[in-house]
Amino acid sequence: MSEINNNYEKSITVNGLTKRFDEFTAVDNISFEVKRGEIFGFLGPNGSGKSTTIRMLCGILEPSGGNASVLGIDVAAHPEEIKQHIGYMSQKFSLYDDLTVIENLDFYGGVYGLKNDRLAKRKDFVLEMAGLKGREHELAANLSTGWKQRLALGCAIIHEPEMVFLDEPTGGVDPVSRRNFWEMLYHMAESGTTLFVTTHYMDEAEHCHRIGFIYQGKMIALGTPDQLKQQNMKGDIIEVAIDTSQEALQAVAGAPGVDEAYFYGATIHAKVDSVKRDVQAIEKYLKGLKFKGFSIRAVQPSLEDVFVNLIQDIR
Amino acid sequence: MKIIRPIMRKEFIHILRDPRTLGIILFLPLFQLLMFGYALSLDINHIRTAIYDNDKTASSRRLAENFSSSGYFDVVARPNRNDFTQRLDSGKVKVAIVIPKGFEKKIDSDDKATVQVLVDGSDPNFARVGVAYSSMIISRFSTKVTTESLYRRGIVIRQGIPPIDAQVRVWYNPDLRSVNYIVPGLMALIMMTVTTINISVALVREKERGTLENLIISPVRSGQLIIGKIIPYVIIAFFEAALITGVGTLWFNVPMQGSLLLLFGCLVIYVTGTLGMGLLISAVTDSQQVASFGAFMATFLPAFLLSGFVFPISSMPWVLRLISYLVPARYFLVVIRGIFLKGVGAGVLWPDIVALIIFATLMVTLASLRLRRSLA
Repeated sequence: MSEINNNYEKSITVNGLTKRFDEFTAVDNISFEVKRGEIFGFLGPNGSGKSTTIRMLCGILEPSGGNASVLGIDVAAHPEEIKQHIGYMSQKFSLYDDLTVIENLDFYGGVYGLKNDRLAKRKDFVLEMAGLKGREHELAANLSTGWKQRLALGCAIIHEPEMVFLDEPTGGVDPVSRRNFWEMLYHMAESGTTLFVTTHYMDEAEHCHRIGFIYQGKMIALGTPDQLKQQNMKGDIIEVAIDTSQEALQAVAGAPGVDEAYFYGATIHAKVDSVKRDVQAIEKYLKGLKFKGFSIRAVQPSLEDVFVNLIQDIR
Repeated sequence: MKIIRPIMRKEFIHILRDPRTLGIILFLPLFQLLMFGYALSLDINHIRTAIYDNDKTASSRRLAENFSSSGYFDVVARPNRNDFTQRLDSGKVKVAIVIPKGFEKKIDSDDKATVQVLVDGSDPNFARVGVAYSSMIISRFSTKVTTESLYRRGIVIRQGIPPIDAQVRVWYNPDLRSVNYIVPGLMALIMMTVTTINISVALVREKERGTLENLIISPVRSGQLIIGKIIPYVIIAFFEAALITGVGTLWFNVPMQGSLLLLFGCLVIYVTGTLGMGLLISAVTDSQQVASFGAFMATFLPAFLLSGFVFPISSMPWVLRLISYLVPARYFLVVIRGIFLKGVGAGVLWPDIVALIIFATLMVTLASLRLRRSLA
């Protein structure tokens, strides 16, 4: 067993981390820190460099530049040591379908070198936490997606890692299960485990203590959800309850004072410089285009608004 | 070691819980063994033959009798019409012996008699044997005729005719039973295909499920992962080898002259190498179909064609001879036939055993290097 430096304050410290594949720069000079016991949300579109960053932090991909340490261990210098102390759960859940619940736990426990008392204790803990007591001998294949997800998390933390990476852990899971799952993550964070989570769901991002947003390999925003909304939004967001046709979107986008318009659920969101100044002009403009029965109201920007606008600014 | 054990246990569960894999592992070898053991007989006898006796004399009947009693030829027709073209064309007979009119008269008057032997050459192997056997029968017959004719004139040749007698002894397989040659070879072939295809499919399945990703991020080293995956299949190969040895010796009566221990020791080395190759194949492919097809192409075909299993390496063109050095079955065949038929030991077989060790080391190393890179 490697010695872990228990004096670390930051679970993750990343400085100028870069990964190049031939001509292509997948991760471009990113820097951030994650505190102990924090739930850090790592967001970004597909192909923006999320997975590459996680792979470097897990010690399976060598950085091309900069440095990163996880739990006080340098990822480039001691990748094998890091592996002992982190847990990893992927979108695919990575369970063996033809093994039972308990056999999956036995296997992952064994791979992390757990045995006898410790293994029994940890299995018990995980079964309790995941609510899988009484289903130990069911094949993983027969579990529903929500249960599989919890078992996968259980397998990822069977060795009590101080740090867990979760790569889109809620993909394809129903809303109730997602809520339960996040409850489990909160509990873990409260007991001191650091969580590094990537997700596509913006409502989940709101649950994170802090968020980093990566786009085209660059970290374009970093902070608490509130900070991001305040610092990165120049202007106001209005919600136009109209219809979700391309026609309506184009109309809103072309209205006076609108910088940006995009679908937001069943409505259209638009960024304007000032609600007070622009709302009436927009209303008038849409009526002039023969749109009827719509309503406009000012809304608090959500994280999605923030990110859409951040990306638009770059483009 | 403590990390390898859970991997082995899991791999065993995969094998034992999947009826298809289990079926392939248990029944395919038996099926292949029986099928090849019977169908791939290289022994040629019971050649369908027609004898056209146009002479109808005592001598011509004696010659015909020599053919039918030889055991090599089944005389299926003695037509009165010379319709051999038709019979050979239709494949009803493979050999036609045509004894011309005046055959006995020529023998009795010291004239040179001829017998026409027509052989269907569309299967050269068959034809060669047909030609050899019929020449042998005719030459024996003419020796007998000469001796009798000299005897009648009061000349006795004490040493016999012909004066030089070849004392041929066939060692190791005195009856020249091809099954003795085929069954040990089959072991090399079956062992390789069954285990290699299964292991490469098993690894690709882990890629597809995403479990391999988890293993790569875990403290398991790729070498440990590979050893943990290989060992269960080596154990299965043991059972298959025992099965093949059992059926081969008890059912097909193949002699087992050498040391079982040496045989199984070499088997472990050989199978480790081919399993390593299977893992290497699946490390570079992403679908189960491609993996199993690749494993089949990389194992079965070279092992069947380029190993000396039935086609002798020495008569191949030099390019193929060179390639055959890369086929591990080539070395294992020498070892296994040496042990089964000749009863020789490591003192004789060591060059081939060393080649197998080199192959196994190379494959396991390459597979483990490639696996480490495949996900990073």
